[in-house]
This record gives sequence, C-alpha cells and structure tokens, in this order.
Amino acid sequence: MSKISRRSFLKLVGAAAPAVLFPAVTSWAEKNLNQGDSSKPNVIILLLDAMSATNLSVYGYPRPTTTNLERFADHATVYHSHYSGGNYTIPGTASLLTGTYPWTSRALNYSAGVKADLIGDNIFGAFGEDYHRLAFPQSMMANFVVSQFQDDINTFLPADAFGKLNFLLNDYFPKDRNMALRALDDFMFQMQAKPASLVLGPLQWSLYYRDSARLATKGYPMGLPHNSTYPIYFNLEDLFGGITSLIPALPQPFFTYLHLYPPHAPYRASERFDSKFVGDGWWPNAKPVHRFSDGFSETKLTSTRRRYDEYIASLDWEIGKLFDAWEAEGVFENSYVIVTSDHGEMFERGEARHTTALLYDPVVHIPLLISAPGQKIRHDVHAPTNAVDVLPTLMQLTGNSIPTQTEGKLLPGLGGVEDFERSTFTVEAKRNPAYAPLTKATVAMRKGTYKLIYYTGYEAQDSFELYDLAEDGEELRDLYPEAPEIAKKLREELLETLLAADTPYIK
Amino acid sequence: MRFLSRFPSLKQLAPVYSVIVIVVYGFSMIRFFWRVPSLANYSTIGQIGVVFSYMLTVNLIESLILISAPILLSLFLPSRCFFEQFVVKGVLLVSMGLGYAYYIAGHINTEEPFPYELFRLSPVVLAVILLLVFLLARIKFLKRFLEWLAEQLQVFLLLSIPLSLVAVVVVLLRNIF
Repeated sequence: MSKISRRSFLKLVGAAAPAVLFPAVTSWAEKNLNQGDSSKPNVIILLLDAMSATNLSVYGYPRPTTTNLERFADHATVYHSHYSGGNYTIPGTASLLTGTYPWTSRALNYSAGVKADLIGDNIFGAFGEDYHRLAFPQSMMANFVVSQFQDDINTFLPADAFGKLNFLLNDYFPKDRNMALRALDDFMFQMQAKPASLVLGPLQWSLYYRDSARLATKGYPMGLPHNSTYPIYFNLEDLFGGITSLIPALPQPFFTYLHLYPPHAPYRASERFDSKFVGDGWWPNAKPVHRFSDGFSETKLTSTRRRYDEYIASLDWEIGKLFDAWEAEGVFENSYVIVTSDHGEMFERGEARHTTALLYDPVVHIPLLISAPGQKIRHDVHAPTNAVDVLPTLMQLTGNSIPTQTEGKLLPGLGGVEDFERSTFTVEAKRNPAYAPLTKATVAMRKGTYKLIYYTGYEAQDSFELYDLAEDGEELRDLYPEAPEIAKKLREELLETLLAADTPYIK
Repeated sequence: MRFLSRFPSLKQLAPVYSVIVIVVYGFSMIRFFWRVPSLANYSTIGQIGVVFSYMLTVNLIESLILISAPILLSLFLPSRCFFEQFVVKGVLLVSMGLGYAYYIAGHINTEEPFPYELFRLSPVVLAVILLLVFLLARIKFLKRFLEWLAEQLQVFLLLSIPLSLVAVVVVLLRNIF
C-alpha cells in the first residue's frame, strides 16, 4: 500500500471540501487527485486595477459593462461580497499577496511596501520552486509591493512590457528594482510632482512629453491609455495580445500575477466603446455629499462614471478575446483563472476617486471570479470574503503550505464554507505612519449583512456609520443611531481588533 | 597637442565644478529633506540611505555632464577666448545655465501643461548666455568677485566628492550582488 505524502493529503483535503459543497468541481478534483504531484494546476491571477464590483454587469450593474465576464462567470465561482484589504493599490495588493490586512503588513502609505519580516511570506515564495512564478505589475504602485518579492519571482516583467512608451528607470536596475523605483522613478525623476533632479529630471520630462505627443492615438478618441503618475503609455490591444501569447509559452506548472493598470484613471475607452453609454437612459441614484469628499457636482460624477464604465467595457472586450484564446489553447483545463481587483472606484457623495477617506462599497467591493480547472458550471457565493483569503486558498488548492501569518480563510467553494458571521476588514491609513498605532484612519468591517465604518483622526471626535447591506445596498440609511445594540456589538469588535493590530506599535 | 593644452587644470576646474555641485546637489538635497518625513513613515534608515545614495549618484552624473560644457568650450575655442579665463567664464556659464534650468524646473508641475516653449527657446537662451559670459567677464569687479566666491565654495567638494563616491559604490554593490 502506497504511503500518502503530506502534500497529497493536503491536496486531497483541499480538493475534497469543494467537491462536497459543489459537485461540479468534483470532476476536477477526481482528475487532479489521480494525476499526482507532477500535474499541479497552473494559477493565473488577472487583477484589473481599480475595478469596482459595483460597476460590473456581472454583479448586476444596469449598464452592460462586462458581457464577457458574464460568459466567464458561467464556468466560475462568483463571490458576491468580496472586499479589498485597502482602498488603493499599495494596501490592496499587499493584502492579496501576503494574505494579511494592511494593519498587519503595514503597507499603508503611498510608495510603501510590506514590513520586512513579511517579505519572505509572500504568495510567490509560498508557491515554491515547483512553480514557475511570473509577475507583471503594470501598475507602478503594485511595483512597490511586488518588487519586494523579486527574489521569489522567476520572471519579472517590467511595467512597460507590451507598452507603447516608457521612460521608467528602475527597469535598468533589475537587481535592485524596489529601491531604484523609490529613488529614481518616485523621487529624482518623479512625474507626480517636481523632479528632484534639476537637470536630468526636466530633460526626461521634455523627452517623455515630446514622444507621448507623437504617439498615434488611433482607436482611442480620448487618447491612449496611460499611467496617471508614471511615464507609461499602452493600448489595450497590445497589452492583451502580449498576455495572450505569454501564458501558453510558460513552463508548467506556473503561477502568474498579472496586475493590469486599466481600468484605473485616466479612463480611455477604445473607439468601439467611447460614448457607448451616452444617453442610455440610466442614471445612478443621487446621494448626499459626504463631509470628507471633494464635493464634485452630480453632473461631474455622472459623466466621470460614464467614462469609467465605457473603459471597463473596452477592457471586458479584450478580456473576452483573451479568454477565447485561452479556451482554444486549453488553458482553462489545467488552470485556476482568477479575476479580481485591488480596490474599487467611487462616483458618488461628491467623490470621484478611490484615494479617499470614504470606504463605501464602490471603493472596497471588488470582483472575485475563480474558474477551477475544467469547471463547467457557475457557482455563487454570497458570504463576505476578503482579498486576504486568496493566498491561503491557492496554497490549499495547489498542495502548498499556508504561510502561518495569513489572516485569510479558505474561500467558500474552494476549501472553505460560507460563514456569514465572519468579520472582514478594509483599512485606509495612508496618512498614518506605518509603524505607529492607527490614529488617522478609516476602517470598514463587514460582518453578516452589516457594514460598520469607523473614522478616526479626521475630526475632533471619532465617528461611525452602520449599514445593513441586505436592506440598503446603496448605503444610504445610517443605522448607527437607530440600532444601538447592533452598533455597540460591532463597534466593540472593530475597536478590539484595531487595538490588537496596534498593540505592537504602542510605546 | 595644442588642443589638449587647452584642457583646464584641476585648479581651474575645481572652482567651476564647486558652483555646479552647490546648485545641483543643493536642489536635490532640499527636496530630499522635504521627502524625509514621508519616507520615514514607512522606511528604515537603511532604505532612506539607499535613496540618498541613488540621489547622489544621479547628482554626480549631472554635475559631470555639466562641467563638460565649459571644458568643451575651452577645448574648442581659442585660448584667449575661454581657456585663459576659464574660472570666471566657466562660473558665469554654469551659473546662468543652471539658473535657466532652475527657471524651467519652476514651471514644471502636474497642474499646468508642460512648458515646451522653454525647451524650444533653449538654443536662443544658450546663445544669449554665451554672449553674456563674454561681456560680463570683462567687468573686473564681477570677475574678482566670482573668482573669490568659487574659491570659497570649493570646500564643499571635500564633502560632495567622497560622499558621491561612497554612493556610487553602494548603488553598484546593490546592483551587482
């Protein structure tokens, strides 16, 4: 009788749990268990930066923004209450790649990364050397996090891969990418503020602007998509064309982390989708302007939202072509394909961005769709889940050890069970020192159908908001004063959890 | 050989280079100290030191590029035009050139369109600067003042050169190993 190895046992447990919950996944589990270690599944994370679940038709948005993702959902598990760990790329990405909340990874500030003792516990390292690990952080903010893990990555594609124009300098320092990024692209030659280099900085700007002005914008009436704060231009066709040909050529098994910049602002829909939703007769609900917002007018919010929706539709078109190509190549037969985001985007309450103190659902409710190898039918999971759950789940599914520091749980349907009473968190603290207690922050806690939002350090007095998302999905009726019992219970849990996270930093 | 004989000596180069160092390194240094509070929010002292090393390395490259301008003029122009008054003409040239660079840098921000016209005007501005270099170098008081000032500034080279060399070593080591 042959012995069962620890890895095979973990694989058995990992595969058996979803099989019990979702019989359709059984076909994959049976097949995979019979194949042994040599047939580990590939894993592809396709992360679309700043893609809010609330603007996707696959999640019920009235505009047909994601008809191709709807097709994909037909053979995937769709997580309906999935939340990001943070409200912009640094904390959002760090949560996904370390399985920890931002208050644990301390990836809180702009241009920051995860704390030193967590670097070794990243998702690439966790996949181990059996896997060929590829990272393509097209978003520069994601680069700050991913480049910290470069020792565990076999192929690191720079942000300009498949791009039209690039003036980034960290590409020339592949062994010290993270610090070169911080020192050169984010300081000496920075584009989001005055460069610190007196002579070469302005010279680089002038060459960049000259070359970008010469770029052909054919097919993009509003101009080519580009990074808002770093010198990168690209078009969706080349970007997705590159990814299409990239995957089948990789040595198997592989883990790829594709962190694509679109649909992040500036929104640049392709010709096919530009103005597609003008006059479509749909109007979002007007919501009261929040005291922490920029105070944009409803007209501005509506037009910006429309451009965002059109950009998503353009992106979805390319995703459809990508998935068709992968289908033809048989990629879905032996790969977990995960579509998600790092954070959302909001166009309401006077705010038109995600780098805000507000943590309403448009900013933190992100898509998560996972197609298991060979999966043929759709499953829907409604229990709250969080970006921190992805790492442990993937480790379980691929027979790897789950890093001990992870704060995530196994995703329902893929090893875990639906737990409506579980609490998940989203943390915004970009103006708080990373290695100090959170005294200027917003924390959103999702538990059951409730969502509690805690604002601290913005005003003389801390404040809370409470919503029942089952009854009030638009988060319009603040129950905090109306339901003191529920509010008290949730408030105590949130503050206790925050205190525990702060404890190592209290002097 | 006469061409190389117009290559300025270290004694001539040092005062001119010190003016470049003060402006170029100073410009970055001010921004670095503005940046330190935010860097300190999420970086270790070692990481801040690495950022500083990259900064000094870029500054060193910039300053070497800039010093090449008066050297080239000295090599290609007749001796009496530039070489014989290398310090004062060099100081005037780099001071006015850096002044224009500072002016351009002051117009670069994300809120306004990129100031292309300032770059397009560069050849004209450089021609005017060259003309001014030759005119102003005739003013004896100014000549003496600039030579004195550049002489005093040389003390900064004792700091900037060793620091820059250490910075280059740091950057090289991080990118080799």
